[in-house]
Amino acid sequence: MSPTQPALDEANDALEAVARHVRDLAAAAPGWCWEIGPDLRVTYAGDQLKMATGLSPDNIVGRPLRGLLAGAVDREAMKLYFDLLHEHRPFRDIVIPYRRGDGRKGHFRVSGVPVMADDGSFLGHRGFAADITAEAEAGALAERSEALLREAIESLAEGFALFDSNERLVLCNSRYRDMVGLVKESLVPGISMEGLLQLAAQRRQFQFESAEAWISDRLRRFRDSTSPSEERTHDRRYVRFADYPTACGGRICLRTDVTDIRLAEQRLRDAIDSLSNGFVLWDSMDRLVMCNERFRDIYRFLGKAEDLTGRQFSELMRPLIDDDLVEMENGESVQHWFAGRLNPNQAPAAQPFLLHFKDGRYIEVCEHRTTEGGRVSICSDVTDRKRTEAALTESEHKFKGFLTASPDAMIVVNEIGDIILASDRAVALFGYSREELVGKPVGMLLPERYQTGHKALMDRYFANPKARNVYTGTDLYGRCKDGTEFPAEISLGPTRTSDGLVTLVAVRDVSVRKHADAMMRRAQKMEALGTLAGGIAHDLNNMLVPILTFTKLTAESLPETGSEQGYLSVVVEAANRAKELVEQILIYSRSETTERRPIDLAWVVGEALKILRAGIPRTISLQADIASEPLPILGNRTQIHQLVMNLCSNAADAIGGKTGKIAVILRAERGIDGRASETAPYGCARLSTIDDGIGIDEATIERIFDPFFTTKPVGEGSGLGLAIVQSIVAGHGGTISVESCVGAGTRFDLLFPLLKDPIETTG
Amino acid sequence: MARILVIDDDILVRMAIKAVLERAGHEVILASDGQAGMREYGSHAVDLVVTDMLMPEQDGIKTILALRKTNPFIKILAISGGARINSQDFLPVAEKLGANASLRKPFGPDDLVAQVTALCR
Repeated sequence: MSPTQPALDEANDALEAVARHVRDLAAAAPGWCWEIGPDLRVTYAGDQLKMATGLSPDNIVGRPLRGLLAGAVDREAMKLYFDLLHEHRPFRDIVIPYRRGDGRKGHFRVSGVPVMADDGSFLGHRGFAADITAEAEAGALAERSEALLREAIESLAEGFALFDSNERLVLCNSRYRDMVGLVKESLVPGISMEGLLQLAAQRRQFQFESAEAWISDRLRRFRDSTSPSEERTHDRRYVRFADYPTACGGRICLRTDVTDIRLAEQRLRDAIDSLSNGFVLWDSMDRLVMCNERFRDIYRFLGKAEDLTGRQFSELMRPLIDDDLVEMENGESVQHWFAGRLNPNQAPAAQPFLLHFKDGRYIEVCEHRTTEGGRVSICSDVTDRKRTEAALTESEHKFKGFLTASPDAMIVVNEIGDIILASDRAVALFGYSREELVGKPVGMLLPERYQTGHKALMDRYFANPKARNVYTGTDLYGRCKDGTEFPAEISLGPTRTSDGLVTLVAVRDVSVRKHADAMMRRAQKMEALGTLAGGIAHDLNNMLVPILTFTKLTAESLPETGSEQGYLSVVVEAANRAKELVEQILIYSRSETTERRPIDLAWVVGEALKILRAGIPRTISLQADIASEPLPILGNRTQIHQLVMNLCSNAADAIGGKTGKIAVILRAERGIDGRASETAPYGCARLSTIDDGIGIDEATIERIFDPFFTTKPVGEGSGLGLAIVQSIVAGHGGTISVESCVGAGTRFDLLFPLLKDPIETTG
Repeated sequence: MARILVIDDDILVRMAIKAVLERAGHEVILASDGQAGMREYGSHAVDLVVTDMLMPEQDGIKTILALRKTNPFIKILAISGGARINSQDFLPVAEKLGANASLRKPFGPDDLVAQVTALCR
């Protein structure tokens, strides 16, 4: 029976609908349909092939599949694919990598089923293929990214763990495992944080006091992602916990082993705590980073209990100024120092400075910048040192005081005889500045003629250094900078010091004493002379009475014209001269013992000159230059008269018959020769007589004050004139000096100490 | 004419004074020290005493004081050649103690006669 047309048409329509349906599906599919025959030649390819690969289906139909897939790069995949085709088996989603036209690697995904004829014979394969190059690339990228991420996480030095929003572990690295060693095996994806904590608490992975409290604290920190905290593990390591939220509600946990840092810190802290000095470190914001106990001991007001870490300098140290606890040793105001210290731009003081606490302590502070802009401050209590220094300064002061107070010039020399110290007196005595003395050999203070001997003496002294007076058998002399010499007594006192053997040399200028000795001897001589003169004068005067008397009586009894009269007049003359001599001797011997009263020297000298003028030859001009103000001295008018007479008549004799000049000058002066003197507190009067006579030679000048020494012919001078002058000056507490130049004249200078009191000048 | 007692320990001085005064017409009694002088004074009526100042036994000062005690009106002339010790000048002292005049040794006959004449006037 043949099918009816309507039924056939209906069947054709239905078939056409199915075909269209299939075509639509194929057109909408992301790949292409294909068919191959039993000989593996392409029998059909969908239009999408061209879209995906650029190959036209018409060009490949009839071509063998193996040729078409010659660009495939994965032999394994190709072998699998062709084995399936040969074995007439169905397959699904086989990925075939291939080289694309542009050289890049591409992928096909192929699925297919064997097609059998009704009689069971094999007709080929039919299936679907798609180019999944883009998809495969994305997948590979994702895979690579994940691998990279895992690798990165694994390579972290920190422990890393990721928990999902349900607080279940997603992944963690091995470092994380190491840090929770005791619960390592439980770190499988999916375990909850709480579970992990309970396990860790149970196994005492970390150190805590109460497990429950620890778990709840840790959980809170995990959930709230608060600031990092630190835990100590059972094996005494330090682990820093830092938990962060992820974008999708999970948690990232970072665990850092800070044991090394903590141990380094601990070592640093131990080191700092072991310092005997106070130590404090301030960061660049001037916050306290760390300090030691000693620091808190020094700054007592900080107390011991409170943790000071992170506190500001300005706040912690404010009591220093607010409570007025301290002052600066260098005199700077504490406020000023504090304000400067607060200025971040101000560099720390280059030198250590001293804080003087009002409780008596001295603290030396030394500040340094740290590399990060903070400050390290080292404080030491130097109270004892300051006290020692003060004591030392005082003892040094005393020592110098003793040196200065000594009436002797004090010089300290070292082992090689170099001067290391000189007292003010030494400086004044020798006329050198201290700088000129210190460091120089002490021999410079001796006259050159002693230099050689001094070396030997010094060697002998240093061979056996004992306190001793220097005695050389002759007088010792010191030599001043200006070359002048003075008689000296020298004593040595050795002392062993930390600087070696030093010797205190005391030099005493004995010129005053020598002078006083000379004066004393002179006074004794004068006294003896006075006694002698008194005796001689008395007896001589007695003897002259009968001589004069009987000569006169004899003369009267002889004829007036006889030559005997002449002889007898010579006897009288001789007796008269003897009488005069005795008078002079008596004046001389009395000259130092006469009564003295306040007189005006200027007035007395003026009067004497008036009388003198008449007795001096007219060829000699007498020039007087007498101070107009009164010059009060304690004196004897008669003696001053005598003195002026003697000096001027000597001067007149020195000029002789020639024309000449005698100048008499009287002036007030400060001190004696410009130097203050105890013997002349109100200064002195200088009486000078200057003549232009024949002068006195050196040999004579040494003897001019000797009694009975005269250069005048016998009978013209007693030899007592200048002796009397000198004696009178001495009796007046004055001095006399003479300068003379043969042929040019002579100058006498007499100094009399002035009285301050108003004078009593009797007319 | 006067009777004059001369007291001096130096015999040459006594002789010289005696010669001068006798030649001038006076009567002279001599004594060699103060004590002897006082004895002579006690045994003679004397107008004038010439006494040295420095003598052994009793010196001039004591003698003047003793004379003045005996007779406030007796004329006294002190003579002196100066002191042996300390070169002291006794004459001003002698005048203060009562000597009417003084004469410094050495003196010539004229000085002595002039002084004595003046005192005896």
